[in-house]
Amino acid sequence: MLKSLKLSIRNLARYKTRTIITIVAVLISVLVSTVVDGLVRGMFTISTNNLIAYESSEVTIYQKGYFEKRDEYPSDIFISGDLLQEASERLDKAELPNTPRYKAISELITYSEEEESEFYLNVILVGVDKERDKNVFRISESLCDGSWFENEDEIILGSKIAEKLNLKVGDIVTLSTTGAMGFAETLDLEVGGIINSEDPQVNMSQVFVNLSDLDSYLLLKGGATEIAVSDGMPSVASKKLADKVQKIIGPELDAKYYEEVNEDIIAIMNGDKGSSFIMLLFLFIIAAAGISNTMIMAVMERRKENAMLRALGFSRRSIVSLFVLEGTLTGIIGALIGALLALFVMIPLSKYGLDFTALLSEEMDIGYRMPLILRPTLFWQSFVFIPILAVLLSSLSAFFPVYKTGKEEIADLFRRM
Amino acid sequence: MVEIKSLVKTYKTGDEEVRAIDDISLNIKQGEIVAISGASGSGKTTLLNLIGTLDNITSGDIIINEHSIASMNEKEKTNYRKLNLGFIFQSYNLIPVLSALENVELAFQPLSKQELAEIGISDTKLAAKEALKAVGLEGYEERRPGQLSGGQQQRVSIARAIVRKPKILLADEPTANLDSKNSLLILALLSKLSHENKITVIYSSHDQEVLKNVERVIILKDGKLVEDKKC
Repeated sequence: MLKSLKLSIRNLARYKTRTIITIVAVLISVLVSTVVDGLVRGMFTISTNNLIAYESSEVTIYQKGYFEKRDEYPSDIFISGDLLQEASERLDKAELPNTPRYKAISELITYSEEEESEFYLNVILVGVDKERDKNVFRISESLCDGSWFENEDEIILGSKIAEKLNLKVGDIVTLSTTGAMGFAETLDLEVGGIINSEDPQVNMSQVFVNLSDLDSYLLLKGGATEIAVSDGMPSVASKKLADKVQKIIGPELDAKYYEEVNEDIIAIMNGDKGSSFIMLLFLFIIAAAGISNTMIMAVMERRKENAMLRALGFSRRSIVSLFVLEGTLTGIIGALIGALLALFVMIPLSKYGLDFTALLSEEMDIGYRMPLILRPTLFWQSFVFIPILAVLLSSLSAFFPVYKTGKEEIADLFRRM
Repeated sequence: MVEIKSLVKTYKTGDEEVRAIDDISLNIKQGEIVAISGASGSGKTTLLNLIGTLDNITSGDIIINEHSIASMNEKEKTNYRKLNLGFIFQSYNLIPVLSALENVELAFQPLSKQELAEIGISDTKLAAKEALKAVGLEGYEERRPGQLSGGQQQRVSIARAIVRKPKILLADEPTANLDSKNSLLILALLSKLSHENKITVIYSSHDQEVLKNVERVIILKDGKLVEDKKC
């Protein structure tokens, strides 16, 4: 085996240029695949974490019938005050942080004295329990101006909303929304704070009001449209937690985990993962074609050598193995260098990120819940499985063109030169 | 002892069938130095390849020391070659990335430990060195083929062919790429090795120098045996 390895290494060195080109092809495939995989995973991870930390939490409890219509924000289906209290107590007993939220499509109206005109903006009103919300979401940590509901009748705006309507802390706005049973209500509120979270969707479209203020205006009677639940580890979410919560709250309410609540966004992200996988596969196929081509040339050039080896008593299989070993070595060298380079690229990238703010507007909804500075995830499996795949493909790419030469008769090999 | 019985080898070229060896029968004794001669296309290389199990017999048989070549499958032929035959080619066929010593040692690679023990080899490197010494190339072990002359390369090829102590050496035009001085050296070397180790040497050649240095000449024409004379 060692002697075959020595011969294979020497043969690779024999055709330096060709070998280097093939190694570079493998290297590029591994480097690009690993970095792109890291970036896509990064996008997925950051988006998932932000969804959970700012929008939907790990598990959301709804009144039966609400979940199917959740995109319409129906005001006539919500969890009653009694049910909410009971569910909340049970969840507290099970030591699962939870908080009620009221959501409704609303209209934010401001008046500009300078321009003597009103401005309207559709927003999503999120009524929050100012104390309990901190245990489940990170909205309160994202304040960039003002405070978290220090006074009554305050509204906290997403930063992009404030920017768009030229609002600042202390300004008065009017919120037109829908209360329980579907009646319209208009509230005058003072801007108490502005948040700038990691989730651009929240910054662009959500406003927050203290649930206790909303309760009296909208006749909620202690009710809410949902209860958000976390198990204290916002970056980890699972169906198991939803099942556990369902058992705790009983059959009158529905517990849904974040993937169900955000199935459209998750589907987009998974679709992107799939299409990037296909693109990377093509990259590997191109590298594999290069290796096959190199092997075909090597086999053609070494026909007489192969014939001599067969005459010496080397079996067909051992000669095929020599070439496959060459292909495998090419794959190993390319994969190792590619993986190392990928690490060198991804470590600074994961710290500083790829800044797309110059290319894309922050108001563009790209589907992902992440800022325009893209950071890859250092996923150790990518550094293991992608190089292994590259090596396997290299071996296979070497095997098929060489396999045929193993079948030729020795005398034919001598004759064909 | 090589017994060739009613040997036939045909090839198909397009629609035509070519009879490269046409019903040849002859015997070669152990330790004989024989040349198979004839014009180009007479079938001499084909006959050599058939004896060397490098090609398939169409009909007839070759029996070498009671082993029937025609009845062997691919694996059996490979094993038979390993332990009984040595080859010397016109164009040396050395591996250019290996040194002279490594090229000779390569001959041992297909053999198992048991097979090495059967031929009395315990140290392959040492055996390879001794083979190079026997062909007059002591001190040239680390040189690669590109650093050797034609004659020296052919001697490495001979060392590789004899290192496994074969019973039969098959040499296809071994002097075709050499000048007259080196040709004579190679022929003298092969004769010496044959006499010392009782190896049968079968040349395929139309070189007059070769024909002068053998004990018997077998002449072929259009695949048929036309003359078999002792020298």
